[in-house]
Amino acid sequence: MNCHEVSGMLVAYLEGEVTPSERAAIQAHLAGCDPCNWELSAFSDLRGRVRESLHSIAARSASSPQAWERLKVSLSSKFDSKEQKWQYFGEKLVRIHRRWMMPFNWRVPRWLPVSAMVLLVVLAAYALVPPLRTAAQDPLGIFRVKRFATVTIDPASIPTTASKGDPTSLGSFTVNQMPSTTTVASIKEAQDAVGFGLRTPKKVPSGLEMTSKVTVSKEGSFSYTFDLKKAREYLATLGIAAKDLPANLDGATVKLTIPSQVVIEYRAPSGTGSALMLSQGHSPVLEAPPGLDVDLLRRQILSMPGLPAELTSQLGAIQDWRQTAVIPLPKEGFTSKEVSVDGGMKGLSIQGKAGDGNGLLWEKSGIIYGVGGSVTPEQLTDAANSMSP
Amino acid sequence: MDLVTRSLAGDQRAFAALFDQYKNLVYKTAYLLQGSADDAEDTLQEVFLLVYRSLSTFDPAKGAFTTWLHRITVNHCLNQRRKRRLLLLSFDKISPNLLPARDASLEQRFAEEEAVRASLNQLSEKLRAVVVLRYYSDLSHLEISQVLNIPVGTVKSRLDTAVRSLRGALNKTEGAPARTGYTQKEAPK
Repeated sequence: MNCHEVSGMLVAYLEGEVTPSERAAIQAHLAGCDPCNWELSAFSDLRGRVRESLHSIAARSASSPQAWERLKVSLSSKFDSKEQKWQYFGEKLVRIHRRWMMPFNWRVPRWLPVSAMVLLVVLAAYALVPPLRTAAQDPLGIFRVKRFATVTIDPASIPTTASKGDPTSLGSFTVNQMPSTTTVASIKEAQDAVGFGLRTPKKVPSGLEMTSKVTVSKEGSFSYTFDLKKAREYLATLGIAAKDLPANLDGATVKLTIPSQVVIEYRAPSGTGSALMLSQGHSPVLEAPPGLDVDLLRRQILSMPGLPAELTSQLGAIQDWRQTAVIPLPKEGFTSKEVSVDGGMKGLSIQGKAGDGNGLLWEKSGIIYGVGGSVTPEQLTDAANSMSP
Repeated sequence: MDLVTRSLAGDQRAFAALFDQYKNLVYKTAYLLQGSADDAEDTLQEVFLLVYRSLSTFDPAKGAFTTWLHRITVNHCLNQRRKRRLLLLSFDKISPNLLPARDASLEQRFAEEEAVRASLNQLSEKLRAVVVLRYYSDLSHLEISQVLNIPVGTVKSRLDTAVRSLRGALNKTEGAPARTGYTQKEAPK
């Protein structure tokens, strides 16, 4: 064999994909040819580099912890494809509502959703803002939602490494009780399942009708236990120096309970065109451990170098921190404003770009209501203002 | 009974365990082929929906479950890319300025990954699939031929072309000479 022939077979040789006689001929040539040996080692080195880089890139990637839950929803659907799509949309809304800190941002939040950045935002939201001492009806460390505020987040200001974070970046995540989702045929049935009175709008966009599909999501609860060492290491990769975090954050467990929710769907009998979803349920409850000084934590998080100033100032401006759910919205494509609905309740209207849909959230008598869908903000307000009983 | 058989019998727990066992295989392969966490997440969903629906067509006599799963995953990724006409592989990039200061080895590692990523980017999706299946998934040439439904000889030639292209691309990025310093004419016989 000459150099040309050998060179052409070196990759196969390294791969072990040559015949014994070819192998013998190549080895005989290599024994006396430095350039071919050089070439062999260059290919060998390259394979090692590619292998190592691919493994390293893959090692830093991980699927969402919600992947199975998402799949289960799709698997449970027994409808045809159009129906399936609506089912998925409805389920998605349930999931979004369940994750009440970020409703109505259908398409965009995948850069953000279960990343540790969200946990950071939520934690920051509860810890950064000065406590409203007079409103402390709940024992210290228990938070319920009565109103909503948005913080706009510029995806560009989020370090790209944050998207690699997952809920375990700051500690460990436990599902105490997975919220189960079932479909029932009537409001009465849903009411019996969740144990509170359901309300429906009298005024829905013309052409839309309540479908027979009412989705009930039973209570779920999740715990998060912080691991200080892990959190510091992860935050460091985001360029956030977190050396001042309180020592007792280590091992501290925060519990989030999402009570049962019901989603009612309105759409045209044909199944096409616009749709409106109404969700309702008791407020989610976040419980911090008694020993954790959230006030101190707030000061320390505020002083963390590297946290976007735009974010901390927005969080800092939120009043009534104990009862305000913070909804992160991407800077581009969404706007929000405060509105008065359902008998003078303060609501939050979120408007997406065309095609993204609109949403409206408010609280009344301990129940959080959300309406959303591919209808106009005015139609959502009309629906909210016509809720009965 | 194994998880596949139990899943086929309608055991939902078995299917959940099957998902748990193989989600990384699907997600990470998709991530390397598609270069986007969002796309890989969607692929994970689509692939397991397909697995759920077509598990009964899996024939252990024709090959391992992982080979079958790789085939569904790679086909899905290639179809998606065709649909979206994506030309570039854009792994979520690491900005060196976000790394902790003075960690030279880490910076070097990311620079290395970036160089490999950029060179993979220059490969056609068919060549990239062979590279990922061989050097990440560690499949044999025969297994790759089963996954891609092509002859073993084609796997061999694609891998050869891919490795040489990667070398050319990396040398270009790093400014190294393309060849060993002798020309074919001068090469010793």
